[in-house]
Amino acid sequence: MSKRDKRAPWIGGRVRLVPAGVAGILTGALIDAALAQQAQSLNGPPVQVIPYASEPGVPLITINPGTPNPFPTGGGTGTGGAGGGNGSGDSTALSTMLSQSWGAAAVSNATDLGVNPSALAATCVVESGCQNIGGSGSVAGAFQMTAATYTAMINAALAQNPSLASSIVPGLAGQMDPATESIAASEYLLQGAQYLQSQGISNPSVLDVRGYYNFGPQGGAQIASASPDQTMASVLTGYSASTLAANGITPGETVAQWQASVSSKIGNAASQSVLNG
Amino acid sequence: MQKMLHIGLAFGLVPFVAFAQTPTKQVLAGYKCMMLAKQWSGEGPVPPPVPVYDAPGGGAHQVGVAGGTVIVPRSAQPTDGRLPMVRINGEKAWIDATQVVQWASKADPSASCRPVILPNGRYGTDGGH
Repeated sequence: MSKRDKRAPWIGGRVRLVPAGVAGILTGALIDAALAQQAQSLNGPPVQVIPYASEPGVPLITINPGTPNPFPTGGGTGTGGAGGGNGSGDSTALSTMLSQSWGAAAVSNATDLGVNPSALAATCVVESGCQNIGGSGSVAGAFQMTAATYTAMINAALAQNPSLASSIVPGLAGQMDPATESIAASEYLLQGAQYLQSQGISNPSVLDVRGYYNFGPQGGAQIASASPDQTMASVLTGYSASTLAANGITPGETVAQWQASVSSKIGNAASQSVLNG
Repeated sequence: MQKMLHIGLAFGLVPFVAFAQTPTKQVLAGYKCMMLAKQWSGEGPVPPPVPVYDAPGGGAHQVGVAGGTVIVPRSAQPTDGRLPMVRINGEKAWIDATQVVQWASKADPSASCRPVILPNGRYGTDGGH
């Protein structure tokens, strides 16, 4: 963490942050303790135990579709860098993805590639409602990737983590297998986050990477470093008015309004980090 | 004030006191917006990434790539063909002067751009007309 991150000038200096932080920890501990006392009711389909990590030497991990998701409650844990994602963990999007039969495998795939499962879940929620559907042109699947992007990303993911090859549906058919496509989508998120990092964004959030997804590498950085009251038209300098309209941007729409529209779809995953750890 | 903090700590109120103060952006005086010469229009091939370096000159190391908008000192002149710039994280870097042009928005020609430090700590922009 840089000195600038610690300074937090708008709060008035480091001295006042220390007791605030202590109080926050105590308050958080009390909330966690309170939550630990609450019974959790099951929802969704009946519990089915699906083992998905059986690598020799690695403990068997199981996640049950339809059960409360296995990540910490309270909207995520950890802290991000200045302006970056706010930890990783639980989200409404993750619960949506985990309610699918392939959700647990997708969580495993994201984790194996170092991606926050909530970030992956947010992608399928916003792209398809986590439904395995077709799309226009070569776009298909729960993550709505084009055939070309899918192929490039699945190859990159397998090069990065060859052990994933044992669980995929090979060839382009994998695009319509949500668990397999989740590997490609995780890789795409990973590359997007890494690209934003190369632009100086220390801990890209899900919202940051959505900007990268929707408006390309240049536009992603422009949105991530724009004042919320700027218009999308002024921030995305290379876009014509007609191209903005084709991307669903209305005249006068601000960065904050665009971010709010995305957040309304993906909920509390929006501010979480894309990268784990 | 310290006594108040201890009282607040006991009641878990301090975070609310701290966060009640609205963060504000700070104008980066002496800097201006430029933009990459090859802007992506949202269609067709994405232009190749533009590297940024830790120094001017041939022996410099690449430290990252540029975003679409580039913040440079208002009076900067190229050194060995590179302009100094400020990255989103506030670090100083250098970019080939041929890679940047005067800032303008295609969809909103009357828009302006002003470098700022955003409340979240990122070095970025705000604007108006």
